[in-house]
Amino acid sequence: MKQAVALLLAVVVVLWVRAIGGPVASGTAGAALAIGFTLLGAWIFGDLLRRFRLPRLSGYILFGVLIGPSVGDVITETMAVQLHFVTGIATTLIALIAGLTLNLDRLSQQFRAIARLTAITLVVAMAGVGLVMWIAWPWLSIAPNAGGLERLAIVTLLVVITISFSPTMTAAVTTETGARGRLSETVLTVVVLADLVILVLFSLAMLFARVAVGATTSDGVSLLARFTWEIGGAVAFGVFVGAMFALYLRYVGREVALVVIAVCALLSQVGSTQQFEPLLAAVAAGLVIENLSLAQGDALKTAVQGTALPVLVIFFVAVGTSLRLDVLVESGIIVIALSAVRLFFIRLGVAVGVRSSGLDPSIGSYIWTGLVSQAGITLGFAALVASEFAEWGPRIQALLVAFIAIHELLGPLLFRYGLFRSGDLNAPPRSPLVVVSNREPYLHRQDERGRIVAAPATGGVAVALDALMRERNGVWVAHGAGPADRAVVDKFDRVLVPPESPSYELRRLWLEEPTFSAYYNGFANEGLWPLCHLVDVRPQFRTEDWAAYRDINRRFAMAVSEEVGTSNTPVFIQDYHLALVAPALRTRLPHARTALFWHIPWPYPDRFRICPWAPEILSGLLANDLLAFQLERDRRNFLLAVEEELDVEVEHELSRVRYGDRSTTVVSVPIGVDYDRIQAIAAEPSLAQEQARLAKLFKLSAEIIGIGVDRLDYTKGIPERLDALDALLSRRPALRGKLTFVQIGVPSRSEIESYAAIEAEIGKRISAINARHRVPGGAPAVHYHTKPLTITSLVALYRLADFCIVSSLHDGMNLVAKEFVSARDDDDGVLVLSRLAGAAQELREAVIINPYDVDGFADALLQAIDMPLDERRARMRAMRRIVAGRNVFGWASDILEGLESLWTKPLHYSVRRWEDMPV
Amino acid sequence: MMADSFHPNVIATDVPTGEIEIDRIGSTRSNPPRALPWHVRFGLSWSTGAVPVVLILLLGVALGPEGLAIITPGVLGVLDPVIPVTVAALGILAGLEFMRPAAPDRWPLLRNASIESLLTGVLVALGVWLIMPASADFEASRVWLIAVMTGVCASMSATLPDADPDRLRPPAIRMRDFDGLLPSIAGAMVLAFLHSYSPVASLGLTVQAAILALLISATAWLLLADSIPSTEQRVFSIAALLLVGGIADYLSLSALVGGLLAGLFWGYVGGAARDCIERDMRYLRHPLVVLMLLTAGARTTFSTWILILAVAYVLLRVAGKLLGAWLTRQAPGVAIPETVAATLLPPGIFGIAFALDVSSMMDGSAAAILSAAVLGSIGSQLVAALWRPAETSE
Repeated sequence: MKQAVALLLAVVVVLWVRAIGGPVASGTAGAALAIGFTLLGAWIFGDLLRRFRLPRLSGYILFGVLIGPSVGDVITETMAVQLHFVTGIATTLIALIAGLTLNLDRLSQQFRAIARLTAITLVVAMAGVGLVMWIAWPWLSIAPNAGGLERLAIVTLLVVITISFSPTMTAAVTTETGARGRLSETVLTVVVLADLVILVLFSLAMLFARVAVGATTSDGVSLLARFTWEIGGAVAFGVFVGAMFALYLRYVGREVALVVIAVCALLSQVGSTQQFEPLLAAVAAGLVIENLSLAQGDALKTAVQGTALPVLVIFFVAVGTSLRLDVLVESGIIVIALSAVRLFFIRLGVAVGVRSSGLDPSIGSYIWTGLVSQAGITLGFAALVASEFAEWGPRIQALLVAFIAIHELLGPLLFRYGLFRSGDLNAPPRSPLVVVSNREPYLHRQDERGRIVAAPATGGVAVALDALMRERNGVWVAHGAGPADRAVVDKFDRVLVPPESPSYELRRLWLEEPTFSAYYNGFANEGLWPLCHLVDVRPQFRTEDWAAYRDINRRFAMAVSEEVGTSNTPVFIQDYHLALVAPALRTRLPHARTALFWHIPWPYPDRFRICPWAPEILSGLLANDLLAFQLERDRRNFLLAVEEELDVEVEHELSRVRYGDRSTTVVSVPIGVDYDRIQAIAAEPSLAQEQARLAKLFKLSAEIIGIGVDRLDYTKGIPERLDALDALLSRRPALRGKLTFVQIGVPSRSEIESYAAIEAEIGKRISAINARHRVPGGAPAVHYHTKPLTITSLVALYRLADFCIVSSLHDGMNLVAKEFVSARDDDDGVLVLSRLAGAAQELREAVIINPYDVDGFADALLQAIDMPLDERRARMRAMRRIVAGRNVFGWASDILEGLESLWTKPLHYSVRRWEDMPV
Repeated sequence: MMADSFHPNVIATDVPTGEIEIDRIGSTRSNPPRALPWHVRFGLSWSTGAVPVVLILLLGVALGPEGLAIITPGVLGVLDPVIPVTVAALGILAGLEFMRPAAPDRWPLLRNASIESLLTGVLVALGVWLIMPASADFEASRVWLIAVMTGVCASMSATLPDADPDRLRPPAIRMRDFDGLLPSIAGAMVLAFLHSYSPVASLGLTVQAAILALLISATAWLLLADSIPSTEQRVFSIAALLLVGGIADYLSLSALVGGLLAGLFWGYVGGAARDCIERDMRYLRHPLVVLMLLTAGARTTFSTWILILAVAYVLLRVAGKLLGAWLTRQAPGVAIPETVAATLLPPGIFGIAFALDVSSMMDGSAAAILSAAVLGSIGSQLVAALWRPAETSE
């Protein structure tokens, strides 16, 4: 409804402007108005048609027809001409996008069979359609008086354009339906390859037409030379422009959107003036960028995604406005008949091609259904013909626009049918997933009445992975640590979770003492944890711990291999406890697909070299296909460590390590929190009660409340935080009794000496501070709470606080900082954040502190307390925007899609990203 | 060593025009004042929040018809529709900036900004009117127009808004951001007057254009107020921008003021519409401003009178800004630091935007106004760069 009102308002505005401004006499004064109106209106109209399951593109064209001079006249003849301002750029842009979808790696895998199929299909379809057109010439009403060579040239041109396909429309259908299988992949490859051939044939046909209509007078040799120049020159020019553009993206990388448009204008203009085929040059440019510089290709795609769509929408509307309805009405029957002929010969060509190429007949019977759609490239051809051959070009364009409208409607429906019949639609939309972690998502225990209950893990990562598993199904392999865990598993140690709606299996591993302690407390938490965190705790490396670590990792790998079997199910391994799972898994399943996320920091190489088994850890991690770290710095440190310790070559441009006979892609993907869930909790009416309960429980009578939420760990900088609070209260005694800092400190790994020591130290310091700054009748300086809180209580507490301190001495990310920000939908509260926590890389509007600088830290606390409301709100708004834009589900899907794209990217990945674009 | 490697991004690597640096220095109270980098002072920095104004203007001059003629009049004709759109985008950003929520002292700062811009504008206009007799170059009836429009262009110092919309900026910089509001509205009224030379008719036209701009703003608000995919948001934002610029272009009115009205509207209604528009304008502004500056440079013409105009522009503008800076420091309501002159002296880009606005609606004399604005901006940047650069902190 709102959209309809908006469209109506836009129409009123344009008519009003025309009424008070009068007609546009000349120049480009109406261009921006026309373009803006068509963009807005076409999008709304396209969306309207999409609701009736009709293609958007048809909506754009139809909108052009309705508002154009021949029907509604909202856009006048002069304004319609001005719309063509974008046509040249748009056609080149379409071709550039087509080039960016052509990945030769992918094509080479089935090249021979698909090339044969494509060639035969094109030959049969073109010959058949050509023959019919030649016979039906008198009824086509294109150029009735043309005879002989001219007629042959026009028919040739018409045939080439008529047979062309639409790679992105085909890809859009597979994406929309979630189809996965051989048919969808084969069709996509055929379409892309065929359009490349058709581009060359189009150049040839245009040249032929120019000769035939007398637009050029040359002998055979010069014609051949011209054709060579037109094709070879276009390819060479496109390759040159693509290479230059890739270099620009790599070394400059600024104003990419503007440069894309400029490049398209350049390809279009130089192509025209130098007699190159601009579309071929653009395809060549895109192909070079996509295949020779993968990273640049991705950067370009990102930039083009932001700018191409409006250009293309306007292009389609422009086509609609220029449509001559009289011609369309005249040729309606002919168009339908020709469409049927095209379909028949494509189907015949595919049938012959499948038989000849040896492709599986079970999918071969339906390939033709994916070759019906036509869109941008076909329209681009038609626009070029119309602009070059004024006598009969516009008639061809009108014919083809009607043709495309039919195929836009029919194509997706037929392809959907084909996918259904071939079984591609029945394939599960996504393969199940195996998640591996030390900690399990649900612990079973007995409640006070003796009933077994499942307690879900509360951590943000566990919650996100749980949600992911609910959607994708599969198996989660983890250490069974709950007291009643054994009581609920089947004979294969599996239990279906979550209890309320079982959707995936939890496979439990039973890890006995003392091996578990040596693995978990020993190597993982006394060795790797302090190794990777730059704090003054010396890592302990013991041979027996290392043996236990290897043993447990091997056992995890065995369990995973049993779950994966012979399938290609992706395996998502969590954290530093399981660095050696992948190599052990590969001994059983060499082709397993694994990704590991390293949640904690990765130290610089000299630090990592402390580990006696550094090479083994590194080579173990390199057994994964994808390795992800929190921060860019961690990724760099890892690659440096690999270079120095293993002496292997790193492909820095691709962030890929080739080690042995395999390669590992290394990325940084910062983790987020479940923003929406925290928002939902924050919006619950019962939260006020919880706040009141907590205020009572913690005796929060002070005017100013601070909060810190941590696991009791020496990396969290809790003593430093207490020192800063001590300094603050000493410096401003007026705050005594008016400020209470609530420290939630949940003990963990207490069996380890360093942890026991920090727990004791924190307790002592809190007592000392409270004694030193006590005010009779006033609130205590620090309230210490050592029991874990539920997420609801945490959100309630976050919203009670005036400031939150995260003072890690070193931290991979620290999700408390992001949780605090997520909970503050009142835009209030100040985050005091250590610059040594990974979160500080993103949350720059926090008050950044160095926990080692106690005076500076105390200054920052004063700044937080005195900060004006406006500033608090502005900072919080900025941080909330960042946290909302990077939630934990995005993190998980980035990693998993990254893993899957290592296999699927060459065609599916690259095309999939253009699905919104009607190319 | 270790700390640096930990947090490479805390120190701004991307300093736009000096204001970020000023802001950061201002926020760390103990740091001594320090000079801005030379490339920032000379208007050569290229970052998310700034374009090298001088460099691109000079590039435009070099590539334009009066230079190497790579940008031919034909190419300039193709770029014509882009100019009102760019100018409208700047107006929208200015409107959003003015209506930014939680921005204290908005009205006192606007008052101060208006005082200093009015003073500068009047000084430049008077000066130009006095030194420029009617000649073969300029018709006598047009001299007053050139004087007024040159004054309007010279009075503005506003530039691209901060790369980070949520960053709090010092009062002097916010005052500078507001100093284009009053002159652009006054200039737009003069432009409307030129249509019919009738105050009533021009007022009627201006009101209608304002209603049209607000209707488009309301249309975009309707579409963007709900949660919709980001692709769709961008399409609607761009369409709204094109319509706002297009209306002004079609009616030969100021796109800057059209954009300003739209920006004020979206800033006022707030919510998702404001956020989307702001995000997309920020996304588009860089390429658009580069195009605008290139075009302005390429359209610059040279003659003796234009050079005289440009020199007068620079000198009178500097005088006006210094006087204006002193006056605003005396005004009550908001504390303006002593170094405000250094903030106001750089020419920004709104003056050039308005000159282009004028040039797309007027013939003949518009070229003189644009050329004076371009050369005057380059000169003003030079003066600003040399102006006590060690005292840029607040």
